[in-house]
Amino acid sequence: MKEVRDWDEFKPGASEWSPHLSRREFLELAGVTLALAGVTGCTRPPRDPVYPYVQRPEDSIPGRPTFFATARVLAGLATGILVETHLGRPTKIEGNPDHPASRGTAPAWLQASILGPYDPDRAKNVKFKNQMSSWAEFQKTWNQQSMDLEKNQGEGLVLVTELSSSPTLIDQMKRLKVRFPRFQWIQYEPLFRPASLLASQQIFGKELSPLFDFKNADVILSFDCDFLGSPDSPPVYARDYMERRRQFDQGKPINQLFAFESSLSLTGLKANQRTALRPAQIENFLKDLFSRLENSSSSTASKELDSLATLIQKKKGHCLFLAGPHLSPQAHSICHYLNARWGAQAVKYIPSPISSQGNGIQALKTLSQDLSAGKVKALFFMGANPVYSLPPEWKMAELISKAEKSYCLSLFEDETAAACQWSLPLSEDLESWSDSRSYDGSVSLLQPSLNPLYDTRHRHELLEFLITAKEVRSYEIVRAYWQKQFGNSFEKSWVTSLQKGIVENSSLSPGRWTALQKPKLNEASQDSSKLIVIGRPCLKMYDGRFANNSWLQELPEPRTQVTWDNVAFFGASDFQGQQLQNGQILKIKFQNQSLQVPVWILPGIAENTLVLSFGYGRTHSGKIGTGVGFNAHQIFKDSNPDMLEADLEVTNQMATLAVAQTDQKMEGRAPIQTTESLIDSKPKAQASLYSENPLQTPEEDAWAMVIDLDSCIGCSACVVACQSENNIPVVGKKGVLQGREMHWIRIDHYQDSGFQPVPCMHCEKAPCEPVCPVAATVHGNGGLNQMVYNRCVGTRYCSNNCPYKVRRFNFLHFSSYSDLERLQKNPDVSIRPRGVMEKCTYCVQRINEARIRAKVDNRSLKDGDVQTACAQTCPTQAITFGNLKDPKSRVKALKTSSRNYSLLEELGTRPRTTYLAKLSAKELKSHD
Amino acid sequence: MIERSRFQTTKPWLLSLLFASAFLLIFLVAVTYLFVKGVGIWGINQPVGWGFAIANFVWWIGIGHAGTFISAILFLAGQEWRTNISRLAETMTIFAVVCAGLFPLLHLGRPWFFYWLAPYYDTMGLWPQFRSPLIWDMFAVFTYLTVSLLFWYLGLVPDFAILRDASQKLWVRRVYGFFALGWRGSRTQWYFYRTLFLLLAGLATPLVISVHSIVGMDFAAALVPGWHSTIFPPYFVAGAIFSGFAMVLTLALLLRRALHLEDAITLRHLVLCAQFLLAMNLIVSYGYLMEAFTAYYSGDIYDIGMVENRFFGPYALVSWLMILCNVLAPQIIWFRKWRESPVALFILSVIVQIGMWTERFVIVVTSLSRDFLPSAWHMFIPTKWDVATLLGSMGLFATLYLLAARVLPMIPLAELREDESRTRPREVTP
Repeated sequence: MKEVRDWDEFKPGASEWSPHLSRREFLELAGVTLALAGVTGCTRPPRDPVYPYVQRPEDSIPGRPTFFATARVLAGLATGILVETHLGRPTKIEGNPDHPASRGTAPAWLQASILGPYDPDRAKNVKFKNQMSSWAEFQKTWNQQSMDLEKNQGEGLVLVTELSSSPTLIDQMKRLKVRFPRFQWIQYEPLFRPASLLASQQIFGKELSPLFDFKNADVILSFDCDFLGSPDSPPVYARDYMERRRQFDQGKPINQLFAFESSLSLTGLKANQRTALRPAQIENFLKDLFSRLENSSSSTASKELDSLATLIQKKKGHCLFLAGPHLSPQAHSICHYLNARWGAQAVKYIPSPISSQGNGIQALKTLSQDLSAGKVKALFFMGANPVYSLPPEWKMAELISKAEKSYCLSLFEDETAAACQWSLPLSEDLESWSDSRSYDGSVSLLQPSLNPLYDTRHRHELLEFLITAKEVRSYEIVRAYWQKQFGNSFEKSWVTSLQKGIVENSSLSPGRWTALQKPKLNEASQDSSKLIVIGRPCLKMYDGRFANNSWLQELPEPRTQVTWDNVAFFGASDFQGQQLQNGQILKIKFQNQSLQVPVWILPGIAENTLVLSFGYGRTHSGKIGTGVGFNAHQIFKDSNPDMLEADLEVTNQMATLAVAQTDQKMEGRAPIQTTESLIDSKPKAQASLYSENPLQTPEEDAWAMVIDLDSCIGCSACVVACQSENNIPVVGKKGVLQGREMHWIRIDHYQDSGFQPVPCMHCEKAPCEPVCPVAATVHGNGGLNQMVYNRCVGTRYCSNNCPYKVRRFNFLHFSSYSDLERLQKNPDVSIRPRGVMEKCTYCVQRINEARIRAKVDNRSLKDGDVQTACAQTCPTQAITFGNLKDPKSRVKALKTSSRNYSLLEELGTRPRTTYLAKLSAKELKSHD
Repeated sequence: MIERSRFQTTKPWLLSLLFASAFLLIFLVAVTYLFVKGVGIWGINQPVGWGFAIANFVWWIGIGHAGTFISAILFLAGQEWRTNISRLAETMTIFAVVCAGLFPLLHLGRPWFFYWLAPYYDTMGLWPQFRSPLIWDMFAVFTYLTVSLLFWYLGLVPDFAILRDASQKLWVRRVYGFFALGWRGSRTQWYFYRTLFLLLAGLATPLVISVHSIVGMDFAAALVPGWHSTIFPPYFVAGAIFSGFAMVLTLALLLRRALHLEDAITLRHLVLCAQFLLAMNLIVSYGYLMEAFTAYYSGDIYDIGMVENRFFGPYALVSWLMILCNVLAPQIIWFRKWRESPVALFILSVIVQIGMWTERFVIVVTSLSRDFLPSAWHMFIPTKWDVATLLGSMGLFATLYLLAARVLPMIPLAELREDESRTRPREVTP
């Protein structure tokens, strides 16, 4: 009977429909539903006095969003965000303009992370050995076990977390140490490589990490470092770099970015000069460069090296040397040294906000030995998912079962949770309090913007329970910690920090070092010409943690346009004489095992190098992410987690890849122009026999957009921002295969020519308008080409007649959301039913909002009042939106730029969205 | 003749009906599923917003054309031979237009709002957008259906009277009598009949040209390379009559065999139809040639790209099949041996219909699948529902036609009598 009483009939998520419903269960439910339907009529008014909502609570204006400053943490470092909430439900994430890492922009993963708390596959209940349990049960178990542990001073207690720079967490760990002096804390981050920190130890004598100032950098040498594209790179790097590059338009010499890389990164694609090198060649090149710069009489120096060295010497103080995380500690030490010598004005070294102590693979190795020796009594995983990201030969799942008790606190019932006895549901960061440092060391406080949806606990709360055996809310824990830090001015500092999203003056000041140690060079590494396989973080999935995020899964990978899959990049179209085709399955053979991967030919990959992306092949990720792609983590060895010599076998099988853009060549057309080709293309003849009067817009506004193709790095943040703002559904792999993506802005990729974001052009003479039989697409205020969803009958003629093909059609009922998913939707944008056409609106809801505000304040709109979602989030600020009738607007100024051109101008559609041509090869190479 | 002019309830007829209605059933299933799920069950996508449905629409409406052409234009032109095949051709027109008219409705994203295309007084003060060719299309098709229906019925009135008089059962007599509108065959009745017939023929004549011109403008008014062409209206009309005559040949040959109408539908009729087919074939072939010529002559890279994509792109096989069926195959008509062989003509007529369907596929699908920006290019791959709807519509047509041929004379009895009376001295009937 007791079990029955303990059974929580209203357990979280109980209302969700189980996918495995037997006939019997269905009949039971149907019967109960019928019976209960009558019961609802029997409710009484509440016994206690209740009061209606007469006076609205402060700060709550129905229909107006509230923004909360908080942060998201990736790889231990925070990026500041503003969370837009409507009546208590977060709907969108923006960058926090006051935060140093973001400065108002947010990359794709950050934009997409708004789906996190609403994921229907989240862990919702405490489970013990896959059976429903409760927090009370867990607490009882732990209390019993902690007695024993306390006797042994915590011997055998191991906590595995993700990499963390959270001051509160670190403080809690210290306090846990008091109770269990011999407990072990391991921070495990699958893609964190300690090389940079180890090297800094050698060069500076302490752990320092570089802080780059791209605004002051004239020469940037990137050695396999994707500072523009990698999700763990602060978005402000891309912004600063581009701001400096755009000064070329004002006559300042262009900043020179040299990329030496094995893969083809977004940084490499934007580099003024890019050299494809195998990893060993990069190391050797770096060594040569070092010798050449240090003792100018180096004999090995090639001509290329010489000119590079001359350039560096000329720009002394403004040169940056960036080493990718995958390079050896030696390469890092060279770069640290050269930065200190040649880049003094553009780089600072600060004490690292994250520590390499007790981290990573080595610590896990010890853990696995302890596990197999049966020494581990209580094993906690908090967020980390090593069962997925460690190679299968570790047999991690099996080892975990050897621990006396194993607990996993995680967002999903993931691979590690499945291996542990206890699966504990973790609170999303948008649901609880925390804090974290950012790339420059400054601290952000994380505050919740959503009431917890389920009975979950945050890391801090679980840790506090381990320390005190008491349930304390994360609010009190974080507050208590900062009370100690802020001291007397607590209340004021606490409120300002929360409002601004950053704790004032918390950034770390540059570290000092006594003597700069010269890096010790070992012999030039031998590069066998054997095929090597290298692993790189996925630009979308990172290490696989976002696998259940449908927006990211459907976001085309910028370089390949592949969705819902990962592929292996290869540089040549044949392998040892065998022709390769995109999607052909390759068998990578290593240690009597093999991994099958679909190949994608990407010219520019280093010779005989196969590049895999991490983050796919999840086995326990939920409905979206399970079974998508292959798991690249599983083939690499501990000695080198990013590179492996392997054999390849070309098979005849083909993988079915959902590619968003099937043709990635320009086919003799010129959608992407450079400043050079723009001059070549002669002025177009009058397209029409009628006189071309400038369009008369009776309103005071003429909205327009300019997209700078030279600044676009292809990161796709705009695509996800638009998806979030405008409630754009996903269509799944099958939908993409059929060519039915719904993105209102897409990023076209043309090999050798780069990226081109294409939203609706809002043509002044829009071809879509005259062909609609029911006038469902018409010109509206401010020259907007508008879609009237209610009037649309779905003939799709407008889409056929759109030369830019930016219209999107709801072929099926794509927007069928569960109640949970619906919470995320922006209430200012209608959800489109099936059979209706839709497209970019220039975020008309934002225009109207700004217009109303201006009217209330009795002023006219000024430049910057209206930002489309894409322009707002673009990390490089490549998109500019504004009013052409405003003579002072930035968009007006850009339209007069010599680089400005219209896409398919010869058709005479007169698009309001125009492009700025890319810089020509000559301009990119120009020095002073 | 009255006996042979229509089917009787015999085993072959029943079996044919069963076969045809099996396809009709496919159609009903496909349409039901379409209404439940949406047009996404078809292979259409971005950029190919129109697929089978519109190709089928143009194909069916094209087939319809021969009926009106035969009964109106050839009537005005004094081609007396047209009488013998006019009824079967007109019946074909009605049902082909019915099949055609369904597709624009089925292809809508929200078919339940189809009436928004009609200009009716609506409380929101909204009217259709008259600049859209789809509106012209709707008017054209509805006008065409109305006039064809009237024309067809007018021609049937004297025949209903003959059937009424020949029927044994009372209720059958009553039904035919109802539709015969009290026809007695009096001189006055014939006088008015003839006048009205002439008027309707005059009215239907421009419609033959206008309907398919407007269907052509559905495409020509757009700026898609491969659509945006002034040649489309005449080229579409020729194509329509081409496919229509092919269908007339198919049906005439089938009915001739099934109803033993060799004396009514003589070799002369077949040969004349075939010659017509050849004439239209030449116009259509000229259209194909000019399309390619103007593309290269204009030097427009998008138009040139379109032509090259058609004949050397992923859909090249379909385009070459089109050339084979529409341009090359009908050349056999030049030879008397083939021209006068019913079997050869039957095979040819089926080939031409296949060819004309592929032509519509080529125009609709290949043009859309690769237009201006290569980034937007995407293939269209039909699904089983696309095929089911096409086959199903044939089932609908065949079922309707078989049922009509059971109750209506497929040979214009009264007009034939009239012809006979014209050649022979009039006998005085007691």
